[in-house]
Amino acid sequence: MYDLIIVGGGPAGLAAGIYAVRSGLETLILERSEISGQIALADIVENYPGFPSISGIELMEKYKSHAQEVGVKTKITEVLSLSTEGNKKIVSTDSGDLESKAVIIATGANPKHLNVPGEEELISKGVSYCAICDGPFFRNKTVAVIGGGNSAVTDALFLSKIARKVYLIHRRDKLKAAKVLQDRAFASSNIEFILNAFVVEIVGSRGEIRRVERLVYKDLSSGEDHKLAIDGVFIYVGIHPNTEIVNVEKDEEGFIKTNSLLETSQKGIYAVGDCRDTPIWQLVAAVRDGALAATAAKEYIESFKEQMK
Amino acid sequence: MVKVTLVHASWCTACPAARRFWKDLKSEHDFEYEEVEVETPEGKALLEEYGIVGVPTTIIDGEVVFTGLPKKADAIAHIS
Repeated sequence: MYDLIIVGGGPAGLAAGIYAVRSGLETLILERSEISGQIALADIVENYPGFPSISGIELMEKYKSHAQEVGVKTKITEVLSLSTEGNKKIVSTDSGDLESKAVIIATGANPKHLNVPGEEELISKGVSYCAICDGPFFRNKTVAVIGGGNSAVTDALFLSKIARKVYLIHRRDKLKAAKVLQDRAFASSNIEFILNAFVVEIVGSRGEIRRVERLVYKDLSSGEDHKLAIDGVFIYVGIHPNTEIVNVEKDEEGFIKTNSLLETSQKGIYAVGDCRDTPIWQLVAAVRDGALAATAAKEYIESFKEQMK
Repeated sequence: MVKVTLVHASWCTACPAARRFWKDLKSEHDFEYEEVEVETPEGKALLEEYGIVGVPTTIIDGEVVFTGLPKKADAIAHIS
C-alpha cells in the first residue's frame, strides 16, 4: 500500500509529489500522459516567480525533471474511480486497483466550451481551444479569440504574429487580463477588439469538407446580431474541472470544495490546483496547493500510521 | 482490420502524449496504426482531404474521430 497516491501530474500534482517524497511518504503519481497540465499548452508564462519568460512546455519539463530527480514515481494510467474502505483509499485504474492511505486529487481542468450551435461539429475544423497547437494552421488568415482573461489575451497576442487579423470578442466592456498583457494587445496593429458582445453561433461552410466560415455575435449595447467572416475561432471562456472520478462535495460547476488544509469532504482525500474551488486558478497557486496538501496529508497519515501497519 | 491514423505536428505540445497513447494501445490491441506529420506531403494531403485544422487529430477508418487525447475507453470502443 502506498502512503499517498496523487491523481494528476500537472504542476499541482508534481509539487505535491516533490513535497511528499521529501517528507518520506511512499508516493505514486498517476497520470494519463507523460506531459500534462494545461500550462504545457501555454505559449509563454510570464507570471511565475524566477522565470521572467518561459514557454509552458519548457516549464512543465522542468517540473517533471525536478520531480524525477527527487525520486517521485509516476505511472501512466487512466484513473476510473476512487473509493474509501475504512482508512484505506482504493484508486481504480484501467490497469487495476491501487491502495493508499491518502489521496490528492490534482486532475486539473479542461477548457470550457461556449455551447453555441456549430461549436462541437467544427472542432478541428476551425474551432480550437489551443492556439499553440492549432495556431500555425491559420497563417495569414483571420481568426477570432473569445474571452477576456489572461489566456485569451496571451493567445490573441500569439495568434497576431501568425494570422493576418485577430478579433478579440469579450462579453464585458473591459478585459480581465493583466494590464501588461492588455497594453501589448491594444498596441498590436492587427488585433481588433469587439467588447460587450457574445458569440451566438459558429457557422461552417457547406459541402463534404466543412470548415469554420463565420461567427455570429450579439452586440449587447445595441442588441443586434452581427456576422463576422473568420477562418478559425479560439475559445477561452473558463475551465471545466475534471472531477467526475471522485465523489466528494463540489460546487455547482463541479469544482471540489476544500477546507483551509485542502482536505475535501472525505477525510484523507485532498484536492489541489485547477480542479478545486479556488479564487485564483493560476500556476503559482496550483504549486502552493500541492505543497500544502502534501504537508497536510503527511500529518493525516502519521496520525493513524501505527493502526494501519 | 481497423486503421488508425494519427495526424500530428512538430510544434504541437499536446501531440507527444497522443502518440504515446496510441502506441501503448497498439501494444495491447490489434489494429493498424500510422502517424502522419502535417508538414509532409502525405500530411498535407490528409489536411486537404479531411479539412483538418487542428492537431492531434485521429482518423479511424477514414473518419475524423478524435481531436486531442482521447479517453482510453472511447478509443477502445472505436478500434474494437
